[in-house]
Amino acid sequence: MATTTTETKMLTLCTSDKQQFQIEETIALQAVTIRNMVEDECASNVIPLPNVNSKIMIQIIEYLKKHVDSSVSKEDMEKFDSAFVEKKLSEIFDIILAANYLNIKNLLDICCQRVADVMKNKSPEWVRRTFNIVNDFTAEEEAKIRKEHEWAFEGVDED
Amino acid sequence: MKRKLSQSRRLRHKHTPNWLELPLDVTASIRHRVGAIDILENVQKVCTTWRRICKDPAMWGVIDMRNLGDLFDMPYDLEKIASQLRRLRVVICHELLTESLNIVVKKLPLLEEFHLYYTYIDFEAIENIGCCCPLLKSFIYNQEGHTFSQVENDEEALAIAKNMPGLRQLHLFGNKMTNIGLQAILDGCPHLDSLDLRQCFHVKLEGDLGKRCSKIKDLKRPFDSTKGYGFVTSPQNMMYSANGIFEEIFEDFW
Repeated sequence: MATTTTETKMLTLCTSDKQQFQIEETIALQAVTIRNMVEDECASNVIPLPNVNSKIMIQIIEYLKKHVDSSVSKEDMEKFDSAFVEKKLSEIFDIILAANYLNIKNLLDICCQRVADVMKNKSPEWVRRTFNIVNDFTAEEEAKIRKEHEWAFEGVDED
Repeated sequence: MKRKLSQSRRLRHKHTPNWLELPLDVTASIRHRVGAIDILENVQKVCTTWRRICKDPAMWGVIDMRNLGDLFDMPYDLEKIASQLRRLRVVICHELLTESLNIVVKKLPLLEEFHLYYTYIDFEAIENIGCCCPLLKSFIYNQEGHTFSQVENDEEALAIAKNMPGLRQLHLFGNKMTNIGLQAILDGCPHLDSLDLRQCFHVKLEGDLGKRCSKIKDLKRPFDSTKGYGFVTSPQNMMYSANGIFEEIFEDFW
């Protein structure tokens, strides 16, 4: 077979803040949304990604570059993944939205897992504080909920 | 009754993400990963939006109620959430009563996978599961190994054969059935592509029966290694073990 791939095909991704990222096509195509755009030929060489800003794009490219590398062992990939999600929750939130939009399933999965791990065995009060959620139950509703399983308030983590 | 901050559900900080605005399927994915007990005890008590999401039956396609060491009873009313249930796995529920099970399975019309480990039910309960869950594709009824049991019993196998014709996967680790039960299963469940007969020591896979079984893609025979079973196979039998079979069977496990 003729070797026509001496030149790596590149794609340009344009983020919401109009930054352009030139990356190898094989890396970018791991994102199903980008792959569909390329396959449907509805995008020229420059792919607009209006829902992703450059700060998040840099991190996503870091993730995709690692995951396209088939020489990385499963163990090392898991290590990379767990280190990758060691970020502030606000950053994880942005990455979740981007991964969901770009349709990168593994990335979405590890980020959702990270959020779930944060929530595990934590009291509702702690979850509200951490995720900036206001308790909008009325006092009556709250009293009722608290009664549902009172023992549940024992044994949850203190922090 | 006025809700606290009814319009603004969260404190508006600069760059503070609004977790309530995540797409529903993403939120559901996070909830699943948190686990059923945390959802019931904590997550659904955070705010009205999350409570509503947690009560959505679609959230409960899979219920994983693995209990991390809490020995209290859990009197949850699963009835409302169960109508969408597709997979149910029960591990070591010694007091699962046939009567309760018969009531519950009537409410699980979409159930496709029902897995029971170390949880005894009688053959009538099996019949009932078959009748109430017509979409059932996977039935796992694994007990501890009956290495030295002399008792033969085909009632469960016959109940499966008669009432679960759509099965693709059937695991009956440590069942007391004989070749009669197995024959009935092969006749009654023609679509099987996974059959686990490990530690069914009254089954003899010989002759025509053996040939029929060997056509099943994923077949585990009575004397196959228990490696990968995932649960302790039967340590207490060790106490009564006086012959070599035991070591041979459990070598891999230990």
